Amino acid sequence: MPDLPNDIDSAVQDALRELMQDDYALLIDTFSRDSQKRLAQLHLSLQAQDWEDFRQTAHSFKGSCGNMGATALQQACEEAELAGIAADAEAAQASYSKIQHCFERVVPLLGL
Amino acid sequence: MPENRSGVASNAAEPGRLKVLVADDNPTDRMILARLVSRLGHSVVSAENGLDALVKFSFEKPDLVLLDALMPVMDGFEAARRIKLQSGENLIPIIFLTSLTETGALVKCLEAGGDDFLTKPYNPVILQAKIQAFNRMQEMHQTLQDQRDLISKQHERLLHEQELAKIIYDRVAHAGSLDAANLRYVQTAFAMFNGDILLAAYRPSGGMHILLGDFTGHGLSAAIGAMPLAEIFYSMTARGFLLRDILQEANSKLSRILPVDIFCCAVLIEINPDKGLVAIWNGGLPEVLLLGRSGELQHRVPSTHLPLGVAQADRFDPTPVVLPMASGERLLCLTDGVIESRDQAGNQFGESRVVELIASYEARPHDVFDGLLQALEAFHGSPEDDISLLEVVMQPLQAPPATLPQEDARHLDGQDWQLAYTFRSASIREHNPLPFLLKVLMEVPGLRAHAGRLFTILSELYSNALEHGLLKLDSSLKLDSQGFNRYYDERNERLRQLNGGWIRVLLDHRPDPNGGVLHIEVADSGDGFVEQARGVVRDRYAGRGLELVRALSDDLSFNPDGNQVRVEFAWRLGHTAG
Repeated sequence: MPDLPNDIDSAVQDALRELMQDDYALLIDTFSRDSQKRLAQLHLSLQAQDWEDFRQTAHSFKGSCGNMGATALQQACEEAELAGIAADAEAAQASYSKIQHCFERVVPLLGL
Repeated sequence: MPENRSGVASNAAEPGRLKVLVADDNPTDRMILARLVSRLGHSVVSAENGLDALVKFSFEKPDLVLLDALMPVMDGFEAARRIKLQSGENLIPIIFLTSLTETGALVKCLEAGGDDFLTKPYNPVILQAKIQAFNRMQEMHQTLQDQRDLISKQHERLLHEQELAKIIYDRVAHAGSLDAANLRYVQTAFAMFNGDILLAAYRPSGGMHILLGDFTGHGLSAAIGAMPLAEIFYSMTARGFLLRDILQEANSKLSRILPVDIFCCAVLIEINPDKGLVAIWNGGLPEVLLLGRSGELQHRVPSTHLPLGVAQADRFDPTPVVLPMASGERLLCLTDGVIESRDQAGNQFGESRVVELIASYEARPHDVFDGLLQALEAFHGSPEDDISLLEVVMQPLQAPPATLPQEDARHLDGQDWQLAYTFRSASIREHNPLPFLLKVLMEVPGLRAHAGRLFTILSELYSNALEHGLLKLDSSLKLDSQGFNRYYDERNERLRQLNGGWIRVLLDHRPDPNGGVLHIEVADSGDGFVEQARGVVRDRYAGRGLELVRALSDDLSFNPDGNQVRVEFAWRLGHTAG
């Protein structure tokens, strides 16, 4: 799948390892906890069809994915954000599933 | 206080080290950004939401704020607004952290007070560039503020000093007897602070001295010369000095103390209702105008002297123009501000307009003063702000209140004395002995209430002895106004050439149970002049002196040669001034 985005941009991860030094593990842990919170939040707002909350959560999640170099997950979050703006339940559901899927692939890569 | 510059950059322990507030609800992003910032050498304060950011802003006083737009509890927009409000005048840049890309959202950041954006994912190089740029901007802003504060503080101090100076100047330049019924004046605040000065004082022998002056330059420096001038004017007038003595002293003092480019254009006037005379000295001011009883222009006295403070003492000419001035006649004096007042097109009001205006008020002399003010306002288009205008009406003056304290006539025995002074020609040429003699008389407390009368008597007797006895001037010269000036020219000339001769003044005071009796005897080395004074010459101006003395004293007698006059003056205990 050459056109698909990377699950993890290893250059970004290298830079983060260099930047955070001893705190790198803490960063990964923080990202993991936060991501699970976001996933739960996305699920809740999807059920409640609270598209504004869905959009905001996706937006925020997207930001940290970008900083972590989780490129595919970042893209899925962006699709969720757009679905939230459009209040498109079907697209929202689809993007949520994609986020779940992408996150599962990221977990082992980050050693979570 | 430059050592405690408010807020900005002061938190940093080293130059270039800033305190940065990082506010992001996303813990991953917050962690990364905080580490990026501290890696650049700055200290970091982290906040999890807008409210948290606001609280930490208040306590930590950061130099720079990195603010996420979308946050729970309070979003970044609201936090930015409140932070800007709190920062007041200080420049605390707010950089919005955003992955927002729609223009509308970015505009919202700017409207909330955002100064810049930083997009996710963060780029360390861009972050560093932004922090440095804002730091430089802050430093410039702070410098600007410090300078502004310094300027405004100095300006405040200047205003304060000017106010103080103005109060003092006001008291000096407007003291004296300006409220006398025969005077009317307008002196605008602006003119006054630009060095216009107006002084008036009663002479001890009756009549008044008036000074209208205009110092060169503007503002405080122009006003400074007013202090010594007023001091000289008041103290010398009170001690009975003549106009010319005051002019000499004022000129030499001002030329001694003032820098070359500061001097005083002035008109000095001695007005004497008893004799119906006015003496006018004009050094550098516009013409003084003498108006007749029905407002017709009778005389114009132009400036014929250098302003005060210009000429060396030996080249200074204190000779005034002496004119007869009958009751109801008036003088108008103005400063350059009146003449140089301009209309919208830049034309000057000019002396000719003043003269035309006076002509248009013929038969209504009382209204000339107001008419001139109105004309100036109409000409200028708004009330003029740099004028001094003075009107002096010839009328009997109210007796001034006794200025010397009146004491109980105790220790009368100590006041039983006689003294005699003989003034020889050199002394007569150079000095006016009258203030000195008056001072001797004022040592007797009971005589102080009569200072004015005594001074008049002394000065009449002395000037008779001098002008008619020694200088042999013919007072019939003084029949008309041209004669007056000839008379005074002649007087000055003969005085300059006086060589030989003397005037002796004898003062004799004896106390008695009711008060005391003073004898004044003035003799001179001349051939005698009294017969002449008693004889034919009895008209409007001349020969009045002895009549006046006779009226003021208890007895007046002459020796057979007519060169010695003796006056008796009795005073009573409890007698008040008047």
